[in-house]
Amino acid sequence: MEPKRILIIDDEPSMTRMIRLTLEMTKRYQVREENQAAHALTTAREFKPDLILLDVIMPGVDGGELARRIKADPVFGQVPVIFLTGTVTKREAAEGAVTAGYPLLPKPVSLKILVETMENAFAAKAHEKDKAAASTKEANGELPKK
Amino acid sequence: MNAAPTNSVGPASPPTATPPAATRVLLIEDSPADSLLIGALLGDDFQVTQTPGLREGIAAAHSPFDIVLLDLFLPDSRGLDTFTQFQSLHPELPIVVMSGLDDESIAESAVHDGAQDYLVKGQMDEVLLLRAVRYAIERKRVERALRDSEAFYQSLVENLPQFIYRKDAQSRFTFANRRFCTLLGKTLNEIVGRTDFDFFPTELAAKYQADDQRVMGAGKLFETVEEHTPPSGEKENVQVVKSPVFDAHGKIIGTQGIFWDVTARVRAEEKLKKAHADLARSREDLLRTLADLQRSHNRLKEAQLQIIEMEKMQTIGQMAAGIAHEVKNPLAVIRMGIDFLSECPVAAEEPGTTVLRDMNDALHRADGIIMGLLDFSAPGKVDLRPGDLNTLLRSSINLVKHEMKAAQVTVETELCENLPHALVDAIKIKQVFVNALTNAAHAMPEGGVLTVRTYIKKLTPEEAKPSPGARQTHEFRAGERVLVTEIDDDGVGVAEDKLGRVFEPFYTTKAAGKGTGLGLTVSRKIVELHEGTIQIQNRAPHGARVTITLRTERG
Repeated sequence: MEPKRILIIDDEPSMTRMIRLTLEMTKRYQVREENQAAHALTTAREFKPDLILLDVIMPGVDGGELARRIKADPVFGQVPVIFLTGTVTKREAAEGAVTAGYPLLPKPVSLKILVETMENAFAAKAHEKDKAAASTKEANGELPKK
Repeated sequence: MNAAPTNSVGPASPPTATPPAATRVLLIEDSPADSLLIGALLGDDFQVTQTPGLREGIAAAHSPFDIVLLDLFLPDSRGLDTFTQFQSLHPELPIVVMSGLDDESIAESAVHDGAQDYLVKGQMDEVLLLRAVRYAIERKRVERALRDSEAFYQSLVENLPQFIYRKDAQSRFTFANRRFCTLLGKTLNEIVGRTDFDFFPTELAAKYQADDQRVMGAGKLFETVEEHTPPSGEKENVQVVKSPVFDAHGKIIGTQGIFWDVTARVRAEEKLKKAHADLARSREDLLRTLADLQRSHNRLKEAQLQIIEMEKMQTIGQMAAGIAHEVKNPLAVIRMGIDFLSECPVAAEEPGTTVLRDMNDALHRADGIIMGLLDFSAPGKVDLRPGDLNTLLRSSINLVKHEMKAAQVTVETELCENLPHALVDAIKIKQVFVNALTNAAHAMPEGGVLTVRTYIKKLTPEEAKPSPGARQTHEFRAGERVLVTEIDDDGVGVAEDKLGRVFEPFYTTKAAGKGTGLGLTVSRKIVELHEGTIQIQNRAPHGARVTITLRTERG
């Protein structure tokens, strides 16, 4: 199976590097780091990620704002985003804290939890796609194959 | 006063058997024969000066004489008038009048009017004359002494600033001094023979007479201070002394009273009493004010401490949030690093396995501290819903059961069934319970029994008051039904001097690495958000008790 493309946006290089190395060790993911929030969108357009890991608080750019801009982008607006944050407690996260409709993971996060959350996001995305496809089919009449 | 027996002896001076020197006699007699006779009868013991008329006699009497022998029939005066004239001008002299046999009745009249004796010319002999002269002198002396004495007592009675009266056995006035007369606005004559009922209101008069009867019955002096209202004038206070009057045989024949105005004294006493009372009241007021001030001062001090603590909390809170964020990133890197290494061959064999496990534990601990900090600094917000404390406690106990087992701590529950629901943020209150349970287990390093108890109770006014130094943002009402959770351990307890500090942030009695020093601080904050209280006390003989008091759903 093709490795999933993960874009991690965080101002701390040691953080992005550690997540890249760890995730890539699983052989299931291909990770691109971006430490400059200002370059995040450009990098995203170029890298075409399947999922974005986004730090909530970075110098210069608000994570939530960045997430909205990503969501509004016509090219990768459908890409799932997972927030990482140092300001939320585990309990709040367990209660299902979400920002702009995206899951929120408190730092430090274990590999296990991170992978689980990403896979859940992929599964949800796939389900949505199926549904969308189904509704498209419905809209276009019976099985219109190109 | 002029009819005293001739042989009576006056009280003023002892009787004299014979005059010390020659007795000086003024003889007013116009008849030379009678003069000669009288001079002869008197003899050498008497120095006789003779004048033939009343006018000369009156003039001569300005010289000292012991006695006057006065003929009632003189050339310039005749009859009783002779005596009256002379006596009016020389009342101090004893007078023996002389008359003829025919005029004896006039002589008797003179004696009645104050002459000491009378002699009938032609009937006098030496013995009679001498006795008459001596007795006359003596009688006059006694009379004078009596008069002096009476004058003395009268002046006393009349001049004393007291009211004095006497009554007979029937309470009729027999005497009243001038002052008393003035008081009643009557003359002595208008008073004598009358009773109190003639001068005072019936009730008062009856009282006075009852007092009289009492004095006579007891035969003893009676003294009192009574209110007295004169016929005209305002109320006065009088001091009254009443005593029985005895006759010569010791029989009680009446009463006498003396009273005087003590209104000023009584008023002064009343004023003094009132001043005393005022002073006592002022003192009480002062003490009360002082106590109020003390209370206000204490409250202010408490408030000040709270403000200081709150400021400290806010500062710590802001700091904690900053630190937490800064520390979480490096922790996240380490977390990922450990997970990375765990997938590497080094993790599969010793000592790599141990190193990684230790790193993992250390990370957990650091993360725990940061979590506590964040909980502590998180803005106070609770989501209150009705909840069953017993259920929450059971669930909390379940959360720590492995820890309890490892610490050899047995958990016993005494949960009150049918407990009304509390208004709680379930997740947050469970955090409080878990913290208290964990603390209790930590207090029993050798293991032991931990007892969790719930009950409902009605607060007494005493319990509803905030405990001294307690930080309370609200107050329970007396009579309010509250839910109490007690978590008892039989561990080491808390040193008395440290009891006051256990809620302070970063204060811990546990060994380094065992506690964050934030558990109870956060617990208190959570309980306060529930408008409840949390307290820690030591138990006898050992161990500690955490008491969490919460409102019922109905409040």
